[in-house]
Amino acid sequence: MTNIDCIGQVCPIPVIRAKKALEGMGEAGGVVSIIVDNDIARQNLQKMATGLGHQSEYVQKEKGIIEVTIVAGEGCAVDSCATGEDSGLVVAIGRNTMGEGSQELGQILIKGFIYALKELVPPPTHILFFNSGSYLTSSNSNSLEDLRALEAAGTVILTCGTCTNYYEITEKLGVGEIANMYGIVTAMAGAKRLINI
Amino acid sequence: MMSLLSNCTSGGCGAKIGPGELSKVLSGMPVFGDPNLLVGFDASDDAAVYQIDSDTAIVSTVDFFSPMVNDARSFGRIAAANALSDVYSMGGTPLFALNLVCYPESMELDALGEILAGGAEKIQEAGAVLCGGHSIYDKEPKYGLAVTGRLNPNRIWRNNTPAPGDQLILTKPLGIGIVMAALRGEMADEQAVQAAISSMQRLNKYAAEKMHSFPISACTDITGFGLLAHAREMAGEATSLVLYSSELPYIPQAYTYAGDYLITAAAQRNRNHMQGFVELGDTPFALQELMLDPQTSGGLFLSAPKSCAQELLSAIQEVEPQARIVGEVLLPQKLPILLR
Repeated sequence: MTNIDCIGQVCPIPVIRAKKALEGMGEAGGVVSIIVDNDIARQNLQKMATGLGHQSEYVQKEKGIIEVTIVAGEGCAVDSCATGEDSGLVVAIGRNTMGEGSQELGQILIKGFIYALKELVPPPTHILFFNSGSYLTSSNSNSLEDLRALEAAGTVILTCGTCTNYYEITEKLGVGEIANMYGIVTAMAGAKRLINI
Repeated sequence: MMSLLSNCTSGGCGAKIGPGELSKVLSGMPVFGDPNLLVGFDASDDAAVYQIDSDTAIVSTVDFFSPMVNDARSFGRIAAANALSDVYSMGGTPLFALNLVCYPESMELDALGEILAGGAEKIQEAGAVLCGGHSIYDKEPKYGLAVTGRLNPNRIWRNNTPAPGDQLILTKPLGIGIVMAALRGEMADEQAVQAAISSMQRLNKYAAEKMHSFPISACTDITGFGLLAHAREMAGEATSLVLYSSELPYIPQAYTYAGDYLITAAAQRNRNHMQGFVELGDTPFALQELMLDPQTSGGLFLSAPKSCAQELLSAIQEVEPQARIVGEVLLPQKLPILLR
């Protein structure tokens, strides 16, 4: 495996270095691991990997550091080649209430649930919001402060873009980033443990 | 000598705060209600316009950034051309300018002199006067201008008032950000870099002068947000814009570089921002990147009635040979931007 440290480097440098390393491996392929310090570089690396037909995944580390693993070549799936790093707990929230029953109670519960997530050590690596769950990351959500604290602690917060467009709240996103279904599936697939609300 | 670029994490308009982040912050600002303020920041337009009397308004704008090229004189010219552009894109004429300078204490002052000389050249070329400025120490060099111009309040070219049936013209080639990214990666060829620098240094004055003989429905200049974000802004709620992706002018090498993934952070931010507003579908990846590419001192993007668009294009091509008709304006469709 080739390791590339791109801390402090801005695009296109991480992409160029990763691409050169991949090209250097020739037909046989192999694994390149790139450490970056911003999510945009991670997105550009995965865009390049997908464009070149390679598999890729990433792990969120401490202090905003992200490790992207790109696998080139035949018969070498990410799962078997990657370092086997614990990608931790992923929480998927597809609604803006918790449990069946009173909606008012459900809203109180989901707020309490997100507050409690904040107390977990280590915090979840990802929290994914979709369908009416998307309301919880919009600017008038009463969970915004808790989610921002989680984000500051290193949790990646992703909200489904199709959902925010559907509910017309894309402009109101108050925390985290917009993701597409590929991003959501990748985070779920990479989870060691997944909580579904 | 320490090079200009070695001190910079990102240069040019690619360093702009992303449109999404910016609107989050601005949404909390109070709205000022002065009837003389014809164009304020709530309109997200290129410059502010303040009416003085029935046929005079002043247009005011400020722009600065860190270097995207190593040559100090070129950087000065580019930063000044970029700052002046906002006056031209509103339909105004620059009157005077003030220098804005941030400069590292540890760098040689000769380079700063070159930067300012480059800026002064462009202010002269614009027919405006330099009348002062402000300089501070900073760990990254930065340069730009605050520019004041005049315009007729009845002939403001707003950025979001195209009319259905109009055609869209783009005056300069895309690909500046990609070529500069390739330069950073030491993979750009000299010809491409020269084309990019020459385009960034060129004032939008000449294209704007041609436009003054025609009815212009809307106009803006392409910045770090990229063509698609400006097209979306122009479409507003009242129209949708169709872009002819095969007609877009670009620096030829930029297409190859984009295909080689010499891509920028700003273009990816722009891509995230455009999600849900345009269906990129099976548009070739390199063309997608060009449409999202951050431009520094980019061209004018304008909307004019179809009946005169061809004649207007011919006039603009006398000064901007790569200008093209790149789209048309429709009544609102499913999405604000459609690609054809």
